[in-house]
Amino acid sequence: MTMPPALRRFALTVHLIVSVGWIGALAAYLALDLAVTTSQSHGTLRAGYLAMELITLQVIVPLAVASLLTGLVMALGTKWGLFRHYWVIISLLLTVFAVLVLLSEARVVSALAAVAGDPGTSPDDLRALPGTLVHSMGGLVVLFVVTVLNIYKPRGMTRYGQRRLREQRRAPTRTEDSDPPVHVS
Amino acid sequence: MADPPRPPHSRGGADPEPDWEPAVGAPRWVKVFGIIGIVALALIVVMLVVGGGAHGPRRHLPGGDTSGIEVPGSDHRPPAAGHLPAG
Repeated sequence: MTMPPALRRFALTVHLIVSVGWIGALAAYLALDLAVTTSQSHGTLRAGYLAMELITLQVIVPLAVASLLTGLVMALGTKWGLFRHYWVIISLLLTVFAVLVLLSEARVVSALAAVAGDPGTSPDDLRALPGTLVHSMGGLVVLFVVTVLNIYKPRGMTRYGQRRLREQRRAPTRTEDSDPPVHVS
Repeated sequence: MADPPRPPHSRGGADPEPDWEPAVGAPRWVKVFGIIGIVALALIVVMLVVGGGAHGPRRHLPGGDTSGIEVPGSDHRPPAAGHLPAG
């Protein structure tokens, strides 16, 4: 079932806000990640790991989950569908992958912050803690790819999408609101 | 690209909906994405195998368990429950 135009624009607005916010928050996280990877100052290291945990759990994870959910709403609530166009499927797969890696890494970041936040941790131990640069940079690249796909919407319809299109053309008198719901196949 | 040029969208706005004719088979860009994805997955698997099932910061976590971090020269262990919020 497709959403009415006003609702579709509202959903799109929310989706854009949380998705762009996810990229921005990840960019801020990357700055902290670079700082803890390169710095030798134990003050910077301690503050950096604690800030990384805060920004991960309270900003990045909520925005990522919201981006995934609003993306599903946008796909299922418009004629783009979830499995009709290759760019939608690839965007969905990349987003799900990014969210799963993020949820896994959130535990690692929390563990690192616990060590860094412990007053008993020595400066040498702080310097021995690793960063998470591979995951944060990789995540940013994945989000850039998803963003490009969502803006350019490269053509390419799946067999399922082509079948749905033929069905819709065979029933030209049917209105948008009376379209059957998209079946997830 | 082998696909014909896309006609202008019949509807404006920030989220126009599709109105072009579908091409037969997957477009070239999808195949390129597929190849890149397979190569990336293979690299990840190789890194996991070479790293003994852990990579990145996890190599510092004994057995991949995030309840403890191995810090050189220290017996420190963070709280077992971690800092993840419930739910």
